[in-house]
Amino acid sequence: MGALSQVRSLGRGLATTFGYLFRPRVTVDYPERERPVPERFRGLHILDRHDGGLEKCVGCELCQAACPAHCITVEAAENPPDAAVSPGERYAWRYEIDLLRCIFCGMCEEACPTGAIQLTPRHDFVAFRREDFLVDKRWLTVPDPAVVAPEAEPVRPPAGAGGKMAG
Amino acid sequence: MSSNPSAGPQAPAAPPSTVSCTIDGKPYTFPRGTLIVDAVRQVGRPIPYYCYHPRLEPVGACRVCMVQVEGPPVATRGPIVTTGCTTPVFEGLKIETMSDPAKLARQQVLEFLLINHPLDCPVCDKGGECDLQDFTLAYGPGKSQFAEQKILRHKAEDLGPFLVLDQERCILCQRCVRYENEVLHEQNLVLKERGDRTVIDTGAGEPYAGYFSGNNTELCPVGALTSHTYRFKARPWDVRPVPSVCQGCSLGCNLTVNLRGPKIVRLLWRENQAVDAGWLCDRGRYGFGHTLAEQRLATPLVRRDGELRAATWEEALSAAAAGLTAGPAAVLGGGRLTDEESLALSQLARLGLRTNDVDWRVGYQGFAAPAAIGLSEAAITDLDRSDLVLLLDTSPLEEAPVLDIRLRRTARRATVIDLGPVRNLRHAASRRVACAPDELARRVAELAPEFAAAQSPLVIWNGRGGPALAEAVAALGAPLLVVGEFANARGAEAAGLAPDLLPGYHAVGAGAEVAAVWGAELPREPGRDAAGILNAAASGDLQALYVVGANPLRSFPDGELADRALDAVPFLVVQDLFLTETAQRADVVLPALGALEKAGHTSNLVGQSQPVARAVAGPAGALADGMILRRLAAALNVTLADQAPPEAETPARVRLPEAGGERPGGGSGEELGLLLRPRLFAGGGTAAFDPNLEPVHVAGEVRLNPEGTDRLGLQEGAAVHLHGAGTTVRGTVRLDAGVLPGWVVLAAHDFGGNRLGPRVRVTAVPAAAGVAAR
Ligand code: SF4
Ligand code: SF4
Ligand code: SF4
Ligand code: SF4
Ligand code: FES
Repeated sequence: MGALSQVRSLGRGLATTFGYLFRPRVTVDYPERERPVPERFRGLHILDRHDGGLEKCVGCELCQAACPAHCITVEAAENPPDAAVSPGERYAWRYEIDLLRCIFCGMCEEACPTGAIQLTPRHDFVAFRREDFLVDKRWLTVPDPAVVAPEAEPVRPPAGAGGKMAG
Repeated sequence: MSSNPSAGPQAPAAPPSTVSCTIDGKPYTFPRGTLIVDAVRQVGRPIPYYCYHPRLEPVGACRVCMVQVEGPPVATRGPIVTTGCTTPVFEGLKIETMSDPAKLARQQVLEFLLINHPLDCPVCDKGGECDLQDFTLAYGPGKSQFAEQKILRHKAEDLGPFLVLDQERCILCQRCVRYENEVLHEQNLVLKERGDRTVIDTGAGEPYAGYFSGNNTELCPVGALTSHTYRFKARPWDVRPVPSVCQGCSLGCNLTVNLRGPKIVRLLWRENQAVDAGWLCDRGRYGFGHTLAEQRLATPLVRRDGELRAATWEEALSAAAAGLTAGPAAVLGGGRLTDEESLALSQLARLGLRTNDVDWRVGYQGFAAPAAIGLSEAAITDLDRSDLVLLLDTSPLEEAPVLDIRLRRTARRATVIDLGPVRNLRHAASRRVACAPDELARRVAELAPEFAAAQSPLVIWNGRGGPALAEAVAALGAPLLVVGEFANARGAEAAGLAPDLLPGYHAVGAGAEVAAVWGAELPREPGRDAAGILNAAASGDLQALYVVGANPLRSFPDGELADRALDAVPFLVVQDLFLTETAQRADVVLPALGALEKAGHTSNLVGQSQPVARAVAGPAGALADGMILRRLAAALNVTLADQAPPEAETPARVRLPEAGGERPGGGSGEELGLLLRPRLFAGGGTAAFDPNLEPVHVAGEVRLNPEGTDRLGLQEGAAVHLHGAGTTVRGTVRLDAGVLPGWVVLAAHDFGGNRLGPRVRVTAVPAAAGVAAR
């Protein structure tokens, strides 16, 4: 093997490298510009509402049962008769997803009998602390069009539901 | 367990007691009379059923248990499809569970059941353990032909303190109605209306009033009958089951604790035929709320400058140790501990405090084991075959409720003599012999000939009434079931928490074997009983009192004495779950863990020691009684033995305290004799602090015979004052024909009643004063 063949192979390698200078770019200037995601992309979750503003989630825990990553926690309670949260008897007073654990498989969406939990194309989740990836109802529930300022109160158990269970 | 083994009736000569048949082609042999549904279940073949339940009579109402049968006696007709729950197996019968006609029949039944059933599964508490879901999935049609509007009915109907009914989900299997009828002999739940309008409702449309409503929620195969406490709390797949034993009373029904995360969400029955026959009462089933009650003591308290203040365990224990050894000390309580803890307390008293002034009997019960008064022990199951039962001034319904269910069954075929001033057997026929407490011994003696003639007699007694009554009972010679006042009275007595007993029923003064295990000399003089201890405290002879899991201010029959004693004693240590009336007087309060929060064993009323599991952690600052005792013993330089001392060959007898003075009222008729009798949901133990039991809590209930109440101007529900010796309490009248005229009954352990003395005057609270007092 002579020096010449070494130079030749170097040149061939660099040709590949420099060749990319003249091809179309595949990267985008994220976050100023975003690449479109496929139609059925599974990104961050939302908890949807009915048209009238009631939450779709009835706190059935089926999403929690279906989730292979065990990252959903649902606790249900009786709908207050004078201020129903969802249609029917039952609503979720606590709904949490650990987004760091979630594998975005969409099983929760599949299991949900009311179409409440949905995976959206949104995929920008950034935070500086782990705890911030543990999202609750305030983060997940889509805003109620009838309510101007979203309520800032923390999620608390309704009277009689007892305290949160750990984990 | 029982020293009275049942001889078992000889089987009469009969046609072969077994039959052979085939199930899905395989041959099997079953006892004659076995129902097809049981046979199929036993061999592990699938069969759906709703109305059938192993503990109820078959009725054939739901028609879902269809199987195909062929052979005698239907041979001439070829195979037919029939209900497996109402057909017994026959010799040569061919049973097919999965033939096409059987499948079709089940499919049609299920389709029919679903016609008006709501699509509620996501919000239904039964979802995940629902037989309608499971059987529809396994045997049902893929889709329904019914396109019309479903019938709408009441949802979330509140049936009473614990039950919720969803009429739409009911499939009318009638398990609940039959349970009420056949098992309870009550009619708390009935069918109303006809045809497709039929619904379940409470008998009179009033809230459910019985003590056994919760069993309905487990019997109901669907989500029609559910409970308030479990409503929407969890799903079957997120609960963790922990087998344990109920310590709500001395019966010790077996149960399964269901936890979601660290919290109890419900308790379920765990069938043990020999104890509970599969049932639970509402006290046991729903009385778990105290585990999370806000008033739970979570830190030791020590009195400083006249006030109880939070302290560390070290401070509290060294204060307790110093106070308890400063002079003569005595121990009261222990009837709510585990067997192991009772032993530890016994050893701590004998070796740490060098005293035999120990007594668990801080209430009305005088002894716990029949052997302690020289009688033989009955087994709980003896009730199933006895022909004569004496119910001696004892209410199983209020004191050991699930035992009452068994007694009701007994009363159907045997004679039950309900003797005493209050009618105690309320849901079955009995021979009622009403008499005043001071006549009991004489009346018992009169029954001697009848008992001598009986095949298999039995006495149920709660051990109240003193030595004379005990002698009369002993003279009957029948085995005895002693219903305990405290959950583990039996374990406390066996551990020697009595002034004249050592562990294993060795007599005080004759405890060489105990001393050998404990490795120390024991105090030899018998101690004082609870009344003696309280008297000594009141007169200044005691320096310190250690009260463990007891509230004598409520439970001791002479509340006035308890009051004086606790006031006079210089140093009081109380170990409890809550800041009870007694604990409020303490110098040191040691927070303990509750029954479902510690492991060990508990002895039920027949002395069967059953393991209990630590299902929940309890408040972080509290310790198990056993741990507290261990640490206190260490502070007193006592090493607690790991091993229980051996049982005495002949159990020593217990000296029974004299009966408290229950005396008839004065001659004028204005004064009534006062009786304190147990009520299930009264009292100062965990029940008083349990949010789950709040709706049924009994307080200030004044039970009177309707006779003569008009003259006093008293009607049902009237507010009254009871004037006793030096004190007056307030209550509400409940007219009760089961109470002997001339007497008034208050709930034992209900605060205030035990301070009135033996005679009271009842006066109506004037209407205006009634309002002002609120
Ligand atoms: S997407 Fe999958 S992993 Fe994530 S929450 Fe839903 S079920 Fe769980
Ligand atoms: S999101 Fe859907 S599946 Fe999850 S609890 Fe709510 S209703 Fe049930
Ligand atoms: S009873 Fe069973 S089938 Fe009916 S709604 Fe409840 S879970 Fe579903
Ligand atoms: S309420 Fe439940 S147990 Fe009673 S009839 Fe209806 S389905 Fe059967
Ligand atoms: S289970 Fe046989 S008819 Fe209901």
